Amino acid sequence: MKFIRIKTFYAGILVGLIFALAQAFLGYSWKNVYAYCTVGHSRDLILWLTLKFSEPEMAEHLIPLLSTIGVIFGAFIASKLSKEFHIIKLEKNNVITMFILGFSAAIFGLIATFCPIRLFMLLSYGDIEVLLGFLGYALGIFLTIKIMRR
Amino acid sequence: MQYLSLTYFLAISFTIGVVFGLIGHSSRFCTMAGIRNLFLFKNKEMFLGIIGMIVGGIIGFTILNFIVPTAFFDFPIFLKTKVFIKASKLLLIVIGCIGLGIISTYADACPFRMHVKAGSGNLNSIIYLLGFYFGLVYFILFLQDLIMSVFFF
Repeated sequence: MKFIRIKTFYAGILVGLIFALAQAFLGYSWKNVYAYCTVGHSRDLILWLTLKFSEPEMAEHLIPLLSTIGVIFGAFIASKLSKEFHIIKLEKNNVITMFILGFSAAIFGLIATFCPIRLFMLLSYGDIEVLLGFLGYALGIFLTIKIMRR
Repeated sequence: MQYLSLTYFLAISFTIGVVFGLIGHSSRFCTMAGIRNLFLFKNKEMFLGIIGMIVGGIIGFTILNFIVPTAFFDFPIFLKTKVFIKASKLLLIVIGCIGLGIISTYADACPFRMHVKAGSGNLNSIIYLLGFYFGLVYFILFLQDLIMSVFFF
């Protein structure tokens, strides 16, 4: 079966519309624009799981959200349908670097309190403060390109 | 009743995740690659994805705000609440975003794209995700109180 290849512009529009629709279904939950966040939802899931076993009364105040697991599952389905699923093997000297990169990505994401997807959704929600975040994101990418090209 | 609502939230959020995963794999969508390609190759195609996301968000929020106003608490934030008040929040946003930019460029994908890559069988990004979840736990346990006590102004 051949799978459709969507253009990025239309994919972006779809992501934005589905995000808004999901926000309407999930309702307001202690944060604005919190229908999808790669960092925040994983954090909520881990917190809920740990609290469920240690302090069950505290866990009732939290809502666990499975969306990051869903992304992995959806990408798996899509790659199986389009027959693009192939296992890329580990590079031996890359393991520790990847682990550290993931570790620091989580920490910086939690410092900023959003992942890049939620950043752009907050921008469209009218949060002007986040414009600084967009500029910072672009600045970080620009600096790294300059360093890597040398 | 509490467990009913729990299953509702779990089901809805899982569905959103699956749909985002399908879109993310079939369009190679990545926020970092959009900005990087614009700087490096002057290639606008990926950057248009970001623009599309903002446009789609504005359209969706504006339309659904009329139908379900309770879900969109103070919708245009810059009109409803005062912005640029807490200096610590701005500082944290800027620090976090510069860090996210640097890390994403070195890892060659933003966190969302890394999840998609892990789903399509890249073992390197599964190691990245392992570090990611480990980092979340580390932040909750040790760094949260430290940062709250330093950035209190």
